[in-house]
Amino acid sequence: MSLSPSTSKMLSLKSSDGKVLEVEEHVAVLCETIKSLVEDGCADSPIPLANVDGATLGNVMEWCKKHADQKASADDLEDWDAEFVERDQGELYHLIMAANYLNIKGLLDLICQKVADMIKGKHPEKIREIFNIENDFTPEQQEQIRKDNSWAFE
Amino acid sequence: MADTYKVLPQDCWKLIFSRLDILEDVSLVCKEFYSISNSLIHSIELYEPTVQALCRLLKRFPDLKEIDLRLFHGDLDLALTKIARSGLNLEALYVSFQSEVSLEIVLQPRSLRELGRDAKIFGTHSELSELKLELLEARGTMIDDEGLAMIAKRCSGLQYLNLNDCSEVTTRGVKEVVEKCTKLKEINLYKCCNVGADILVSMVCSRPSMRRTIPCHFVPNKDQILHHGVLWF
Repeated sequence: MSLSPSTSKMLSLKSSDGKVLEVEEHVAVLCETIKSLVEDGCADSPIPLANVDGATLGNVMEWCKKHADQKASADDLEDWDAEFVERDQGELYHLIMAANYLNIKGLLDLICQKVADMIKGKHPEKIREIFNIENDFTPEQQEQIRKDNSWAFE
Repeated sequence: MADTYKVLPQDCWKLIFSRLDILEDVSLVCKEFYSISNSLIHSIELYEPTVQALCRLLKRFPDLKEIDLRLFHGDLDLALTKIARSGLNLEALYVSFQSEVSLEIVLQPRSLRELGRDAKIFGTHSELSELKLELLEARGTMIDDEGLAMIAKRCSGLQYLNLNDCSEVTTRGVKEVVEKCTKLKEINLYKCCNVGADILVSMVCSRPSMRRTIPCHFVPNKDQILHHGVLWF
């Protein structure tokens, strides 16, 4: 550890399933939600995070730790991020929800880009299949949208 | 596991969709995706949709900011009427373009003039009396003082006005716009051969919001204009 004891103050975070994670403050404050608690002096430990399960919280803090590391170069982070998002859809979903709740813009952008890449160039049927979404259009509505799309998107 | 995506907040889907170049496919997935993707469309270019199709499009995209009709071949009068009545908070409406094809030019100017004059758009529908328009691109059209007067009266929020090559416009019409449109920042009068050169100074003095003017041909008193902090060329 290169950090001096004074800079590595620890915070306890408690996940929705009751797991407690000890995280350095300068890492945890990458979450704007936690940062405001710390700044307002409300960060009595452990901080309860009712919307984030333990496994996801671990993943989120892993990302925060990497991005709080001053020594990491931009290229290094890019490679690391590319590997970080190689996960199944369920995990990605929980990461989006957590990044949204904890207000971590960088992580939210990263995962949203990953999901956008999953959608890109796919037909509607395929997109429904990927996300298990039901088609709630009637065939007539669908035909109408198809026609209108030719005005709007070409 | 995948079914959890159904409950992803709309804001997150918006973030995801905003990273897509083409929203055509997601708009067809389900009603929710349709409505989220529609809210991300801010500008459209219209060629020749039918009136019904146009009305559907105007209703479909609630956050439309720009409509480009410069390549429009259909009934422009009707299109403008529908746009004026749509209640959309438009920032720019591109109505005309300079073309070698005279047929198009004939159609477009008449329509634009009627956007100003037509009582159906402005007069009889009191809720439509104010057209929310910040930018009006009227380059090369036959718009005249009367049309300008109606625009001055109905589009008081106008910030940018391009009258490049509008020979029907005279000093009187331009003065009217400058007086009524208190937010006017830019005006292009290049090649407006019936607008007196002296208008520039009075315009700049009387309209403090003005930031950029393009005069008809020459500038009468450069120092006076620069004194008021307005750029010109």
